[in-house]
Amino acid sequence: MTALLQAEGLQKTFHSRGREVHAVQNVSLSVSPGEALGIVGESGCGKTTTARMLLRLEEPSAGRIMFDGADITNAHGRHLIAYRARAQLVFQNPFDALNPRFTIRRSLTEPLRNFAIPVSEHQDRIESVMRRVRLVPAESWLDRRPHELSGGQLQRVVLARALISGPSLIVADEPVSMLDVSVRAGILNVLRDARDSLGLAALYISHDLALIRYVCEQTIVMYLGRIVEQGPTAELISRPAHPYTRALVAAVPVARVEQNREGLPIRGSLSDAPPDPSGCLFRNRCPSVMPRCATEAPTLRTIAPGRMVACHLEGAM
Amino acid sequence: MLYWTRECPSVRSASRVLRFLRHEPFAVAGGAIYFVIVVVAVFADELAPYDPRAILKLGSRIARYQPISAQHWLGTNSSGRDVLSQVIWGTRSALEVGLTAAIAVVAIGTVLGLLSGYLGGWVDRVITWLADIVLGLPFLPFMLVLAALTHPGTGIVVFSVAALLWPNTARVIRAQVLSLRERAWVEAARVTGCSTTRIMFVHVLPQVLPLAALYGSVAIGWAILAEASASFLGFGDPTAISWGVMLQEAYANQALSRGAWNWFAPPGAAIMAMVLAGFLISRGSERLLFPKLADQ
Amino acid sequence: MSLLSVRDLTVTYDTQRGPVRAVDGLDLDVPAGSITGLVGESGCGKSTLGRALMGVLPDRGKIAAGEVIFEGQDLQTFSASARRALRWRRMAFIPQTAMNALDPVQRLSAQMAEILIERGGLSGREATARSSELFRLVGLDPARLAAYPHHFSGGMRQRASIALALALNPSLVIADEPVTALDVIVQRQVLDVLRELQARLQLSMILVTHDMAVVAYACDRVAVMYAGQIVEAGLAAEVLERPLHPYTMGLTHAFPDVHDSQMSLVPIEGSPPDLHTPPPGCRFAARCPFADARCNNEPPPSRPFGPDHLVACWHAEDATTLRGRAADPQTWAAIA
Ligand SMILES: Nc1ncnc2c1ncn2[C@@H]1O[C@H](COP(=O)(O)OP(=O)(O)OP(=O)(O)O)[C@@H](O)[C@H]1O
Ligand SMILES: Nc1ncnc2c1ncn2[C@@H]1O[C@H](COP(=O)(O)OP(=O)(O)OP(=O)(O)O)[C@@H](O)[C@H]1O
Ligand code: SF4
Ligand SMILES: [Mg+2]
Ligand SMILES: [Mg+2]
Repeated sequence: MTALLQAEGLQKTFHSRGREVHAVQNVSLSVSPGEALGIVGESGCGKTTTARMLLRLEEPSAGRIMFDGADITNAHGRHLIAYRARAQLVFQNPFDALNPRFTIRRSLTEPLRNFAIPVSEHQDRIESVMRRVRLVPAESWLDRRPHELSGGQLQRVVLARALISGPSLIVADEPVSMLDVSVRAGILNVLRDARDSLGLAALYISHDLALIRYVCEQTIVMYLGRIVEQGPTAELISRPAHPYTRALVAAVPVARVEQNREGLPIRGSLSDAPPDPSGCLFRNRCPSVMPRCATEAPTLRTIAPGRMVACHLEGAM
Repeated sequence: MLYWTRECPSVRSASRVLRFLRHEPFAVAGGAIYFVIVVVAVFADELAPYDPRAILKLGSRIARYQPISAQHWLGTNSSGRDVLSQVIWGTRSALEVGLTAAIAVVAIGTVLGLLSGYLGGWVDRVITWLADIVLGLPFLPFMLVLAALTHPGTGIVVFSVAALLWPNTARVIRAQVLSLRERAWVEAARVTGCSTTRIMFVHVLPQVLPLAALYGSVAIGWAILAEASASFLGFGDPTAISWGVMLQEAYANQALSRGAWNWFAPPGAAIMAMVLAGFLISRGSERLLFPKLADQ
Repeated sequence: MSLLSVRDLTVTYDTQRGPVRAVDGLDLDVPAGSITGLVGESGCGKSTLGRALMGVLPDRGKIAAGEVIFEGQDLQTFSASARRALRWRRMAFIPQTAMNALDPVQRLSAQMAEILIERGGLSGREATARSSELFRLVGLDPARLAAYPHHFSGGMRQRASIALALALNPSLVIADEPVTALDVIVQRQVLDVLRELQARLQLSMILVTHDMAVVAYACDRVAVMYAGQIVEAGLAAEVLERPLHPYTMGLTHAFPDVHDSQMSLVPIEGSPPDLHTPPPGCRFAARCPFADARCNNEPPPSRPFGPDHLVACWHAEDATTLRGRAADPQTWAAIA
């Protein structure tokens, strides 16, 4: 199966106050049509930067992005617009994602207008997308402004705006982390449902593995800008290979009283200065660190069909 | 539960404007002065007791040097014209000059601020560099040289004000745009296919207009002062009925040594009121725009 | 006997639309030496309750009725200064935005010393020693006391504010959403610090959160809050395994589980009532799939079920069957 979205060797280095921040280093990934891929990792590990590069909102320092067989790394003008119509973004903060002066109708019409969809289709499209995100009857919502809606309702509008141009790929960056618990499930279900019935490919970003588990069949784990492990979500959670993934899985609380409360298999914190990049970047926090980890940077290697890990541990599983 | 705030920014700024009106007596006073001037200018025909250009007669003689009286509340001047009527009609030219200049300042400042804030890069550097240069130019000499080189008149005044005052507006607009462009909905506009021009003028511009208007109100006072200075120094339009021309005439006719304060005090006070209004509004607006700063 | 016992507490805020009862006739008991999780969705009054207990309500808020009995004394009868003397020493508060609530322009050592010296009456030297001890207690390096808050990561700031709260050995700590903005790993570390300190110092703690999983991980007891009232309370094991209130049942199905790929999440449709005009009957009735006429008209009283389990629902007797129905997404979809 050919990939819908494919990235090779993505790299992003920020220069802030004379310092170089290697936000993303050598990230390669691919998403097939209709597939959902999750990216997990601690705050600051480069998830958002990766997503923004994939959507051409941030220029990669190096690397290549292919979409549906075409190289879009440097697409601009008409080609970029065409790409945008097919690759959409769901924002993290629904309270900030809609122009506060625009009515819902106007916010939904913006993409239709920009992507040159005939005016005769607008009304139908708006109504069908509002049905999909379960804001019905559409007419009772369309003339409101964002401040008249709750967080969950706003996020549904944001979703509607992303779906209205009929994209093939949706990128959702922490789509529910700012929402109330009781409405999270609703948004996740709408996302899941849109994927199933429209055959959308999706890229979910979250630091919550439980959420990723709910929506993604494939998962990438990032640490300090690099991919440390990837594979089918269920396997990755039941048999994590990388020591960092193990810590991540162990840290997720579950809503049951009996659960693992042992100390986490990880030391220190992310804010400890990362070690010099000649070896493994995780070695100062790794419980299984070996001498080799300080001298040789582990590269991603295949350990089972579809599973890759960047760690020197032999019996990584 | 989380740290976002429910209010959206435009609502917040609208309510902030309201709160500001309630809590900023200075700014309200400034606004009131402008309001009075506008009313006077609009109804100048009805309010002025005489035609301001008419040379009044007293019997067969020209009614020069009339003191304050029931007929002439502010007396008459050396050419026999009613001072009050001139002051009243002066508001019209003052407003004309003030408004045109203010609109020009706001238009230039807003567009340049928008471009420099949103586009950044070399556009930002060029505009910031231009603004620095312009801010270094002394106003009066600039205007006078310009007037001397070309044809004196209100056009020069408006042009000078617009050319020299835009950097103030551009700076605040730029700062505002810099923070707006980080907002997710601006990014959302990009994702949904908006061109850069559309983002700037359809999405961002409406958000900064209230701020621009505030800076425009300050420019009005400036422009009127500039016009008065130019007229006083003889670079204005001598045929216009304006406060500056009144001052110039008063000066030419030795108002001071004659003790004819009624020739210069009223137009002087009117000019001061306008400048003061701009100043008051700008002082109040600092609190509106930089609430944290003012709270400390 | 309870360390803290709240009876019929009502807290109102003055707003432009009139008074809003953010906490309305609330009862709550916190036994000594336990961690009580206070869960509920945004706006249900969790922070208001915490602030009312601490006596640090904002200007427009006031306790309109009820009593707060702490260590056997009715705090409502205390003067403002007696109340103040209690703060930090007997009960401490970690505000919701603790991470941002640390004074950004003061070194942590200075913030620590201020409490220890001015509130605790320690000498400068004692304060220094105690600060180091507190930092070690929450797993921070005492050498970092000289740092400013912005030198710390989110998790470290949260630890520092816990250290501040523990400065004067309070017997009750109210932590308002201490882990909400944190990553899972940091969240786990902070929760472990809280759990360990609670056990070591025999503290009582009210841990405000909206995450059932956090309650399950860290709390002995749980109180579920809805629209200004406690709708269900009891031992965490009991409430999570056998919820009696439909809202609690809903909450247990609203979270994905990392170890379960088959589950389907069930949203609780609708939104909480406007507290300016609360409905006459059960406050949850409009969103409840099991509501009947009585639910809509009469507020259900809080009733005990079993030795240590309270619930305010007219249909608590049928909880076993309702639990089965609540697991079915169709049940809740009918409300929408
Ligand atoms: N515009 C920027 N300038 C400088 N550094 C940046 C910029 N954007 C991101 N970074 C840095 O790049 C790194 C990765 O950031 P990114 O936002 O991608 O992380 P993230 O995984 O999305 O984190 P979070 O979970 O907190 O959203 C961080 O160290 C961040 O500080
Ligand atoms: N200072 C205030 N003035 C007026 N109303 C307020 C004030 N603070 C809170 N409220 C209202 O009181 C109710 C309860 O608010 P509270 O902050 O206690 O909720 P919460 O459960 O802590 O929510 P969250 O999970 O969002 O922190 C809300 O409806 C809120 O709008
Ligand atoms: S009292 Fe009625 S409406 Fe309220 S929770 Fe129980 S069943 Fe639902
Ligand atoms: Mg991010
Ligand atoms: Mg709160």
